[in-house]
Amino acid sequence: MTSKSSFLVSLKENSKRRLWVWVISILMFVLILPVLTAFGLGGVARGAEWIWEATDAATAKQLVHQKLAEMMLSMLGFSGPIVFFSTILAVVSGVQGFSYLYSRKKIDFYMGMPVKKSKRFLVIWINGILLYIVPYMAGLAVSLIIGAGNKALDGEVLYTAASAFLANLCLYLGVYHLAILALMMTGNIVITGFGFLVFCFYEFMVRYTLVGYKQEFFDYYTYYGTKETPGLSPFTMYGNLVNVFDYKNVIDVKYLFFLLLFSLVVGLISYGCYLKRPAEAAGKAMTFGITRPFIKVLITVPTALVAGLMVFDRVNMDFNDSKEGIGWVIFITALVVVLGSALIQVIYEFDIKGALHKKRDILISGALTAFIFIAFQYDIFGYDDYIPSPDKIESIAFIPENYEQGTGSMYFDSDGSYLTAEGYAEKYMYLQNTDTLCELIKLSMDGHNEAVKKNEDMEADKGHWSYSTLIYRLKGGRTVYRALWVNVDDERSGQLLDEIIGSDEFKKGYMIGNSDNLNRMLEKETYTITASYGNTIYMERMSLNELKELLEIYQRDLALANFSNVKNNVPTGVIELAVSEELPWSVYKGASGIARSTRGWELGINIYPFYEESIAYLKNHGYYMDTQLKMEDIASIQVVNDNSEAARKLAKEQELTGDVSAEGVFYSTASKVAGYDSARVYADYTKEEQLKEIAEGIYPQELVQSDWDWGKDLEKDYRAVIYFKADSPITKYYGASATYGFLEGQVPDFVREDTAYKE
Amino acid sequence: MIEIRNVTKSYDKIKAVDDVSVSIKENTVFGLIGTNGAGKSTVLRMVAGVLEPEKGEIAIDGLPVFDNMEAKKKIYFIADEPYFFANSNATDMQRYLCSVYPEFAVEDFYNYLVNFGLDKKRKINTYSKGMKKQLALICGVCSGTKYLLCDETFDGLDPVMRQGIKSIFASEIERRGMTPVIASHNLRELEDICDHVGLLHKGGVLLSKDLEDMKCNIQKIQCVFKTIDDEAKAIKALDIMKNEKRGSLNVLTVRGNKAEILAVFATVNTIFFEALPLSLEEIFISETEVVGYDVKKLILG
Repeated sequence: MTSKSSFLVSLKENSKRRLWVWVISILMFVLILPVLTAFGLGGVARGAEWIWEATDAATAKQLVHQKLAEMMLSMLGFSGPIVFFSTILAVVSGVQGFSYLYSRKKIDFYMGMPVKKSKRFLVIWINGILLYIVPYMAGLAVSLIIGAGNKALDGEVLYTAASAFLANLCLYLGVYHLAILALMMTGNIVITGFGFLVFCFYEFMVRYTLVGYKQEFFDYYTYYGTKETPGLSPFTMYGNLVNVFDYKNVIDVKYLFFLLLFSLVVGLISYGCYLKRPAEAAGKAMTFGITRPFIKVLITVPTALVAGLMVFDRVNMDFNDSKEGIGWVIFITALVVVLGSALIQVIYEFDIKGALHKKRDILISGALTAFIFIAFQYDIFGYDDYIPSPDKIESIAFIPENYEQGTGSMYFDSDGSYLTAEGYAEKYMYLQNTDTLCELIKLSMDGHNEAVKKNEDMEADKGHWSYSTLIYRLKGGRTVYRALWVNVDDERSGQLLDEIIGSDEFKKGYMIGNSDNLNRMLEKETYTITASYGNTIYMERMSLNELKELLEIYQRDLALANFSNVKNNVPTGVIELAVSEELPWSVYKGASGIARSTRGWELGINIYPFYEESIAYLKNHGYYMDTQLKMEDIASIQVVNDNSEAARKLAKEQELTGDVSAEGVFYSTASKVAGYDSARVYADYTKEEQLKEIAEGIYPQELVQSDWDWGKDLEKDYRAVIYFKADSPITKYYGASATYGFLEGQVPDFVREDTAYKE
Repeated sequence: MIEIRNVTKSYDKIKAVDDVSVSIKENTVFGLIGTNGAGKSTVLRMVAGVLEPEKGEIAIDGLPVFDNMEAKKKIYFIADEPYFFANSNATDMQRYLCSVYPEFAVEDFYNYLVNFGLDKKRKINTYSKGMKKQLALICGVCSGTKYLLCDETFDGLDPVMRQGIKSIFASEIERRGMTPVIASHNLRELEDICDHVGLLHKGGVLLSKDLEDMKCNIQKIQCVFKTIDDEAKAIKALDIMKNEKRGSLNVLTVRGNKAEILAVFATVNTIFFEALPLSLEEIFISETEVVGYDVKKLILG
């Protein structure tokens, strides 16, 4: 008789019990992965034959290698199929390994044996990891050998494959432990499945519910800063890891640590549950009786709240008045509380009669749901009133929505990665004038609350309310995000905004043309930069040196800008800037041979009349235009007046179903848009005097856009279509016509008269 | 010795075992008898260290059993539905058990397989129910443990097999002092195997005694008294547990040893007298009726 009770023997014996999982893992990693890699490389090699013909041998060799390496990266790097399979295998392995705990028969067999619980756990746990690692590493090795044979291997492929292996292993561990925990807390496979899904999606559901309720009930909630993706999820952590790797080509130690820590904590909890798990739990819904009411309440409450939220939206849509539908919201929420609790109790007891048991849990769930609902409805915790005390604020970022964006600005970080305006401001805007900001916030919130209470039209004569995002950085390290509506027509608000928007910190954190990131980008030799200045119709290309000089001057001039003078002026022109970078790994067959994909950035920087130094530079270099049109280019101008007021009247008279919007755009369900069409009047001008007078008051529509400050705008009803002379240069590079608009109050009298609607 | 002291165990607030105390001596075959739901399996699962008692203690040779490897090494537990690995054969089971029980008797194992006509290469899931029970018993016997816990393992075995197992038990008891503990709901199945019997009912122990003691202390007498006075005199002198009268024939179940009882009958006149052997069933009926239970309903259905 030989003693074989060593750990390795146990491991071997356990492997026999889970042979099919080993077989699946081996099939996937050792067979399918290398085969697909080989097929992929073969396909790439065949598809890249044109490269040898299109370029010299050395370049072709390098380009083909790049394509092959790209294929290797797609197979062995952070590939979706491997992640998917790793996830499935982790769940299967975790559940299969400990599935004996579902069966009394197996429990009697295993637990009757003189084997320590800890040893049995360790054997199964290690086996579950080995059946992932060993085939994965073997498959990786075979694939790399295939890659080497096809000259597709280089340092980057090895590094990425190793990084992906490490990250995938961490993800595997996280999911594996989550599956084991779900199993330890439940007594049969169906409930384990539910448990695993709850672990994966519970946080998401809670976050979704909270976001929904904040959006529904709080005026000053901003979606920016909200994280709907669960923080305590191996998938989110893995996603973060991959995102960082995509940008920086390194495994982010912080995210790797979080993922490992998560795995460790969940693993330890699973182990604790395993040690405490009673044998009699086999076949039951829940292993630990004490968890039953908590889990029931924790699932029922957010589910009921989500149901309430959905009904809330629905009722608003149908009745246009939330109070009319509040009965439905309460009814459906209560119904979900009762049904949810009953259903979970039925699952607990595997008996439909169990639905009526544990009424106390229904009451607790109902009370908690009602409390949360009331807390949001009446803002018990003062979310909407919250303004931090100025002495507790470290700095603030104030981000107007769609303000001074030129002809479309992109925000980007120092590495070129794209950002939103809020993301950029969060990183680069540190406003120190907190007293001024807090005064503006208080003033705006009071005024807005009053307006909401009176149900005033938010765009009426009392002022325009413009949306902004606030990011409070508190001294304790906390960051608070809020929305703010500012009355941009209010005098005191304007004074405060002058101070805020006029500050260097604001310009540094909001005006992308003033950004160091842009300056650095312009210094990169590998980037292709094109720049031009003009009014979006007349544009002149400028050299890179000129651009750099102009930007430097602009950045100085920007000190002159504040809320009021930007609001009260119209840009004389815009610097348009396009930067692009070729992506080295993206070789493809273009129309003219080898081409590469690019990523690019586009900016439009407004130049205002008060930027005197910039304008002087533009004048000196011949870019500046005194007028928005060159008279010598104009063949004729057609002015179109929509006469929206008259159109509205006509529509009413003709009892059309529909409405005319403030912008004069007619929406109708009627097939005949009689009022709108019949009120529009066209007038054509060719006389030089008339053309000159018209040309003085018109601007390209793209240059003058009504934005956050509700500053100078174009007349809503009037459009001027400029027809250029056929032989003019503008016809060649822009087109035969361009649409302009009249600046408010600058429609010549004769045009008004000619285009007025006459019955 | 297995000592079960004031052990209680509940499932979902239903008491399966309530304050049970039993001692199981070494070198005996202990029979644990009770109806379905009496708590036999729960007691055995607790003794095997599978379940943890809520109250009370279970000690194997003085060692607490739950989560104690030293105590568990002394036990092999055969559940009412023995488990074998999926798609395994007897050899696979032997290999696994060898890794767990260092004293596993491999040679004996294969000898027993041959003796019982079990094919070592045949997949166990193709075995009949009885064959699986035989294999489980062989595994248990060969494990080399001191205590062998069998839950309903003999139910359904044919007499030949039972006899075979009985002889294996006898030789193992003699050779290495093995102590089988056999739970069953059927008295007749245990009668020829057990030395000591414990009766469980509704989670508690009704009685626990040596079979021989019980047999010696209860006698069954069939007699016809000459006169009514003789009958009255004898009944007065005897500790009668049960008296069935069929015409003039008295069938008496009497507590006491045989010599004392015969001495009493020597003092009265009888027309006919005969001392009959008692079955385990009859002993149980008598013992339990004394404490107010109808064992026919409890055990025999």
